[in-house]
Amino acid sequence: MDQGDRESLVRALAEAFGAAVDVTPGDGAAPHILLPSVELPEPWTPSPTRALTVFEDWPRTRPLFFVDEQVIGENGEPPRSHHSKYLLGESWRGFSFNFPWSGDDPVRAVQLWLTRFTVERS
Amino acid sequence: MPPVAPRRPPARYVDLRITRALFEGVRSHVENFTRGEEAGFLLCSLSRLAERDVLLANEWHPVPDSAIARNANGSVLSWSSEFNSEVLQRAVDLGSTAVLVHSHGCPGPAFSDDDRRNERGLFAAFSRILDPLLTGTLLLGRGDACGSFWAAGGHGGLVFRRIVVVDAPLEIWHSGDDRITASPSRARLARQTLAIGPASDAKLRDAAVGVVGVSGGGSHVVQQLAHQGVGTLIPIDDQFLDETNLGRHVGATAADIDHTLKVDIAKRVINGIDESIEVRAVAERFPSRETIAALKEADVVVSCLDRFDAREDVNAFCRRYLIPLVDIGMTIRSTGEKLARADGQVIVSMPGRACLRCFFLTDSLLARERRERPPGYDENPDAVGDPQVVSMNGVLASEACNSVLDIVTGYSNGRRVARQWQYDGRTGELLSGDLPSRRAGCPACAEEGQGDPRSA
Repeated sequence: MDQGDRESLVRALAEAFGAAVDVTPGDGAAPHILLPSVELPEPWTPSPTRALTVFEDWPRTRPLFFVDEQVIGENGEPPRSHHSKYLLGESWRGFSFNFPWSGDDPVRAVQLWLTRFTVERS
Repeated sequence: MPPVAPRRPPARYVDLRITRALFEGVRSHVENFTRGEEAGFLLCSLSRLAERDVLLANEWHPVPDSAIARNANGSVLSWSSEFNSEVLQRAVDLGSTAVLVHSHGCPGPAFSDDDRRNERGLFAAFSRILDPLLTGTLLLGRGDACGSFWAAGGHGGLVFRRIVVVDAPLEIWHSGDDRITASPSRARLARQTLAIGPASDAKLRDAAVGVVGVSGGGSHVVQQLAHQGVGTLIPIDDQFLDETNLGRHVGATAADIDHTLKVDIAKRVINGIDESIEVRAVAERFPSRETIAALKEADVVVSCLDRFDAREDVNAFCRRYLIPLVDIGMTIRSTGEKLARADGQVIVSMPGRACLRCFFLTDSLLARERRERPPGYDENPDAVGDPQVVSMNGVLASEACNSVLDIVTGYSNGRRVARQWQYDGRTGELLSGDLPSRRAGCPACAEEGQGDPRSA
């Protein structure tokens, strides 16, 4: 992905989610876009929280999606079927959530990921 | 009642960790006295540990000749404030700190009165601007060094300990404050010392080795590292022993099944060999906060994990913190009736050279694992485990321990360095080879030496 495409991703996500920062570690890596302030529905907390998207093999595959490790649901636990991933010097929370994907709209991709927190409370 | 003097907080030690290539660049400049003294600034990231701070050297900025003013005999060095401003700006832009380096060219280095005067003028200001990062100055000797560090405008409570040159072997430039306890040679290591030299005992005692995954491969590794005399071992694993582990888990017994954490078995094995070995076990899965904090204390990390994404995480961590990594892995394919393939590898990944993401952990390999075995797959109790054979694990573990031994003691006299070993478990063939060149655009190498995240 060239620099222009990356900047388009950042702009689109910033417009939709209030802010987006390109934190890609080096020119050869897939774009890593940090969303510093993403709203989560109750009972998920804290909200807003940070989210990190990694656009590997974009747009053929949906982006990888991680939230701040501190996010917990109504039972005080992380999302079910979660795992930790070391990215950019920190541990981020990934979780299993399937949805059909096609297209090239990064905002829609992130919104689909976020429906995990709407449809499940834990 | 007499006033009670305020209790001084214990001093924090400061280390510098630097790759061989960068250190040679620094030395070639500051140890060139043809024009008199030379100096430059190392830009460093930070790794904050429990009791010390480790500066991770990233960039070297020698003071250009055009900016220098020397006195008549070349022994007093000063340079333009414009250069200081450039360096400071670069440090701020990177979120790094600046460390001044020069040399007097002799062992037992000590700062001169001029050095001290210049230091006060420079670092009182630098440290306020770069706060909360510490900053300061290093003076190189001959295989030793001294340093003086500042934080938030003040100078106190920070004690420079050592420079660690990251290579095989690790090279330590000690300061006078590097309190290495003079201990008698350990009788139990007498035969090893005969083999690899009398200096090895103290080096091993002073070393800390992290072992991520202490099951099939890792249980062999911790046992051998304990026998070798490594002073501090950091086993990391979140699992309890189950019955299927007993076929290959060194040190485990039937009584441990479903009751004992694998790290507790590791501790039992290690301290059964030598009670004096410090064991900092963490019963969590990397990259939890506790495991990251524990592994930052390691001089070398051995990764004994099955999943490629987990090995990717450890590789990325070791790159950020300039820690040598020894990675072992075994893949066995069976027809169901008999062994089809048994391929293993040991890879020594040294900062400054190719990492696992440069050639082995490719994007396609990681993507395939995500599809076929998504994260969390191995935590499912009904998931089919991978084939394993204890004796084949042992071959890889032993070569990994030889690699650790070489990184710490240098016993191979440069013959091992950063290499890979390919093992065929069917034929017993073990072949070593060079690592490829670093991959341009490798995401892990792009984060090399960046240390703690800026938000930390």
